[in-house]
Amino acid sequence: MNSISRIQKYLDGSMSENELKKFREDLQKDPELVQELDLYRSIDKVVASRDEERFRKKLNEVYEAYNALPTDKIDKKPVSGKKVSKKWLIAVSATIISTLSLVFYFVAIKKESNQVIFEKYMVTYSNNLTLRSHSQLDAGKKRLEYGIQLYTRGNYSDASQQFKIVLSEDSENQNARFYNGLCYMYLNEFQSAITSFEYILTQPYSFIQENAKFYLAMCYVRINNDETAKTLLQEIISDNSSHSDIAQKVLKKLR
Amino acid sequence: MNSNEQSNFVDSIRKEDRVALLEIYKIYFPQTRHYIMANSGNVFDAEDVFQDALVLIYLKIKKNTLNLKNSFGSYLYGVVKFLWLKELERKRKYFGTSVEDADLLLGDIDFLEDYVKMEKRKLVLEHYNELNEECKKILDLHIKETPISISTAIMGYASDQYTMNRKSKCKSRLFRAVWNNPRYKELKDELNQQDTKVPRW
Repeated sequence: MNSISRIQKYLDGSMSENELKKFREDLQKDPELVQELDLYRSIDKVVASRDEERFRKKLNEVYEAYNALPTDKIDKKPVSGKKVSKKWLIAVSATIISTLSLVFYFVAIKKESNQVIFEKYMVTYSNNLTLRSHSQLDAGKKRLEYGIQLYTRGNYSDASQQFKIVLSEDSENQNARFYNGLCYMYLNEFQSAITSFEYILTQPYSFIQENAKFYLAMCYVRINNDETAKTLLQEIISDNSSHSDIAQKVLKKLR
Repeated sequence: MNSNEQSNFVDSIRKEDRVALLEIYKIYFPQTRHYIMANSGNVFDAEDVFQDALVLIYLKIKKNTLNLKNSFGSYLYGVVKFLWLKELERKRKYFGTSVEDADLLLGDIDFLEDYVKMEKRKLVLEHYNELNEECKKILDLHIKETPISISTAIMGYASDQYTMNRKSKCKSRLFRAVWNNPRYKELKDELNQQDTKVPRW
C-alpha cells in the first residue's frame, strides 16, 4: 500500500488495529511520512481558507488602479521615517534651485529623448487569455501558455525560446509571433521586434494587429526613426484603436 | 508620517480597505520597484514581491503576531528585501551579503517560518487551480463538509462509494502535484536547514 492510501485510511479512521500500530511506528521512524501526513492534512485547510486568495485578488485590483493613476499622483517619497534637518533642507533647496535653472535651460532647447519617450509611454502588455485546464490543451498551446507565463514573469529570454519552438511548428501562430516580438523588445533587440510586428501586420486581420501596430510604433520611437513612428501613430489615432490616447501623447512629444 | 497613520495602515490592511491599500501602493511601491530593479529584477518581480510582502503582513496581522518595532514603512521595506533576497538566492544569482541581514532587519525570528508557510500555501492553491472543474467541485464539497449523499446528488454520480473514490483520487492528485513540485522540496529544505520543526498550518 502506498503512503497516500495509508494516510487516507489513517485519517478516515478505517485502519485495522495492526495497521494503525504499524503506521504509528513508521511515523516515529520516518520523517518523510510525517511531512506527507502534514501536507495531506493541510490541503483541506489551505483550500478552505480563501482569505489569502481574496486579499491577493483585491491587491491585484488595487495595483491596476495604482497603474491607472497619473504619474504626478504617485508619491515618490522615500520610505525612511527619519526627520530631515532644516540645514539639510536649505542645502537641498539651494541645489534644487540651481539644478532647476539648468534643467529649464536644457528643456527649453531640447525635447525629451526618444528613449525617455519610449520608457514613459510604454504600456506593459498583459495577456487576456483565459487559462484552461492544462490537460485540455494540445502540446503547442501548452508551450505557448508556458511561454506567456515566462513572459509575464519577465523571463524574456526563456519565453522567446518557447515562442520560437511554437513558430517552428506553426509559423502562422500570431500569438506566438506577437509575444516573441514583445520579448525581443524587452531584450532591446528592436530590429527583431520590428520584423515580428511587421509580419503580423501583413497577415489577415485579427485583434492582435491593433497591439502589434502600437508596439511597432514604439520600437521605431526607440530606434529614433521618428518619421515611420509618426506615420504609424497617425494610423493608430485614425483607427481609433485602444492605444489612440497614448499614440496622441507620443506623437505630441515627437513633434 | 505619524504613529497614528502608521497604525491606521495596519488596521486598514486588517480590514482590506481598498482606499488605504492604494495609498500604501502610492507611498511604498516606487521605492520597492527601484530597489528590485537596481538588484537584478524587473518591474514584474517588483509587483510580485510587493504583493507577497503585503500578504505576509496581512497574515501576520490576522494571527496577531505582527510586531512593529519601527515604522510601518521600514517593516514593509524589510519584508520586501527579505523576499527579494530569498528569490535571488533561489535563482542562484545572489552573491552579495547574507540574507540573514534582511532577517535580522525584520527582528522577527519566526519570519522564515511564516514565509515558508505562505510559499507552501501558494503552491497548494496554484495546483488546486490547475485541477479540472470536477475535481475542484468535489473537493470544495468535501471541504464544506457536505454530506456524502448530497455531494453524490450534486455531482450526479451513481453512488456514494463512487463519490468517495473520486474525492480520494482528486485529493491524491493534488497532493502528488504539490509533493513532487521541486519548489516544495526547496521549502522543506529551507526549514530543515534552519533546524526548525515541521510546520503545522
